[in-house]
Amino acid sequence: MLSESSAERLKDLAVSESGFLFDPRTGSSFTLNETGRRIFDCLKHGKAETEILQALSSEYEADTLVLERDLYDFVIQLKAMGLLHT
Amino acid sequence: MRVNVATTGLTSSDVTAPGLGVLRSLRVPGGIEGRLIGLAYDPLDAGCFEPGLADEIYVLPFPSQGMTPFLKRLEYIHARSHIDVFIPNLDAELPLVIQQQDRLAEMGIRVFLPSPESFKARSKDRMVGFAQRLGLSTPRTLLVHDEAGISNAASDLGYPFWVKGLYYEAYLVSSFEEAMHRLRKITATWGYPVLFQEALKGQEFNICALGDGRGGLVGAVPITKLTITEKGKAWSGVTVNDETLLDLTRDVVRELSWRGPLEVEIIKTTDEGRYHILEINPRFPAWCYLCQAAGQNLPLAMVQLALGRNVPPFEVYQVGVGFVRSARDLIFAREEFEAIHSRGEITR
Repeated sequence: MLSESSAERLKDLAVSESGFLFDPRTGSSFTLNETGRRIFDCLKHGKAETEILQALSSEYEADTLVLERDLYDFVIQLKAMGLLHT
Repeated sequence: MRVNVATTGLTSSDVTAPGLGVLRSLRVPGGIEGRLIGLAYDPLDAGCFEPGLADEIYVLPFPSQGMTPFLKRLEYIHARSHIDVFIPNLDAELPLVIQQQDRLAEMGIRVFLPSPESFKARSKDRMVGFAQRLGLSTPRTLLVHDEAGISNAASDLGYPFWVKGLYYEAYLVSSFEEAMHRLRKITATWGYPVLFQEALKGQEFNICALGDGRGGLVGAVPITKLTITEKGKAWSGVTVNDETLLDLTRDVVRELSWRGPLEVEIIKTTDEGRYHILEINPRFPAWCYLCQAAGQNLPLAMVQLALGRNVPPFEVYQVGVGFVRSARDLIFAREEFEAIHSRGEITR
């Protein structure tokens, strides 16, 4: 589960259909690929890790370990970019 | 509003002046229906030839030539074109115009500017004391009066640090030689004192704001610069949402009882996330046209305030609206070139 401050931070962020992510606090912008956008949506809706992995498994034909690694990598990147609190 | 408004700052070179943004803000539908008068210090200022911007252009003598030629020229322009409101946009001319507010009022020219005391209180050489009074942080800053100051600054601040002129120009220097070169460059134009300032690491924000002169904030739009020029000027930027920036601006305007436009420069440090106030510029920034696009036409609001009208404070602005500056070639006819060179004026 995300911390309360991270959940608050995510509420601020807007992602368009095309994956364009704008951070209104810093003016920074990013582009998310399809998987990134899907994970981001799940995080924003407060879904737990296991729920996100289940959602990804049902949508992508990939090994669970690969999906797990992708999820962790993505979360680490969001933290490094200041979009989630560490 | 059927009034005539005159404004300075029509340069658009490596440093763009605010006058172009101010004029464009006044030209929007529902804006000024009277004549817009551009006041230039150089016949080749781009604003003299921007299509559809100013109805009349006059060349002014530099403020450094003294008060008398400046006022005489304004009197001449006022007699010909009747200036209802005058918006000075350049740091170097503001002390002169602020000093002459009463004289201008006698002539029937309205301005909306801070008191001489407020103007001085936010100057770069007094910023540390001002910020301390408000409980705000500033980068460590040393006031340097001669070249010997470089060694002291280097040991106190450590390289790199900023070398800043009192009015204009700022350079990040990384060595004694570079500091000496920049110090000489700045003092050759602007003289001493020069400021040496700690280079903090973090994200910079700029807030374009308007104070009502009674301590109230009429409006404020914060941006972050997305790209900057070699001189650190914004070439593109985007509006952001950060309540702390607005609170800091509100504090500054209240403390100074600021009357008129201002630009607050703030840095949020990467390590501690702490906000430091860098500068308070006593005028609109060059990017002020973005404010009206974000929902706060601050130059137009300022004209209304100068005319004594009631302007309710702006409550909101649009976040994520941006600008990119462009450099383009403006074409002028020989007749206009001749008019601005030989008579110092163009009437369209």
